[in-house]
Amino acid sequence: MANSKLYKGSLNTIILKLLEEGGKMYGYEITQKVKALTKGELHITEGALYPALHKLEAQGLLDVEVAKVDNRLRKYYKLTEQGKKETVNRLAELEEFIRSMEQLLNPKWRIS
Amino acid sequence: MTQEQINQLYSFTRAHFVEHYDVQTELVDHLANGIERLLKEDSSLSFNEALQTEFKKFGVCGFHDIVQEKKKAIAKRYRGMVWRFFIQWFQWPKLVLTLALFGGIELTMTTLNQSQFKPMLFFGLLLAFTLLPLGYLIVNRKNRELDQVRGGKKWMLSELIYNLGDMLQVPNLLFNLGALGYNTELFSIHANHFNLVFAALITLAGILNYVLLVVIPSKAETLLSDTYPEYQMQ
Repeated sequence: MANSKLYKGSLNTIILKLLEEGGKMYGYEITQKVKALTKGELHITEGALYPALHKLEAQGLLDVEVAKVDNRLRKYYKLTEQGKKETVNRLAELEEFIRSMEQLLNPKWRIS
Repeated sequence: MTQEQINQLYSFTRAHFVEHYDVQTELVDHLANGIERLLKEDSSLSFNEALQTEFKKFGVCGFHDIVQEKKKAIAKRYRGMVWRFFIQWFQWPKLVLTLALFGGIELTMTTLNQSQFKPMLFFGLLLAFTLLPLGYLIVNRKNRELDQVRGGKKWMLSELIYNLGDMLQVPNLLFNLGALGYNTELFSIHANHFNLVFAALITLAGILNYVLLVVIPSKAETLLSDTYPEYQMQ
């Protein structure tokens, strides 16, 4: 399993990105989707996922829908308008971070 | 999964200290999904074995962290509601009432400037605004407990609404500030700015009390429906 500490700071952005692509998703679906996308490399723990979802919901970035599936209630999360804008910002931040890390780890030395 | 098994999962979350239906529902669906997957992969597993395996994934603290974080998130929403109703008193038309209250207190204090009744009025008002919410919590204890349960279920937001969002410390703070600062150099009862500051603080505290004690509980049904889509589905 990958070093989860490295992913921790990006958990919210990962969730927002998945919801941007997937439309609406429920908690278990998110954990499975991440597992599948990273080929089991990244496992989002239940103890981290739900607090993150609830926090994003309280910030007004996520909206919830509830549907009856089989004989139980399922809570779906989807991006609000504010959430869609925030996703763009956070993804840009994350990409910038990745570029900086790349430069730090693989500096292109040039002799001028 | 049978209805009986779903009910068993609700009991399981309750037994593991998740008392609110809104949190239980999400966890029940999560556990049910996990259990269904495990049973599909290995049909020799029993329902209880699969449940224990899924529960272990929540770590040593079980559901504790999720409940705590959910409380913080709901408290944030509740504070947002309080703020939304609070600022209405500074917008037309309620602003007129706010100004009238503020002006009334200021005028009364000014009229009593040289009177011995002024300190009595000062402490009387402070005490009233501190004791009012406290009295509500004590006298209404039984009713509040019943009100928190809606449709046989306890919701995290309704618990906050009927416990005044644990915001009792606000009027308490005001009382302590008033009592401690009373007649100090900065807050002398005879200082020119005293009446203005006091009238403003009491007006703010009065509005906050009104929002916490009257406005929000009276709109509980709507607020719960807006917060929880599943509230309508009961």
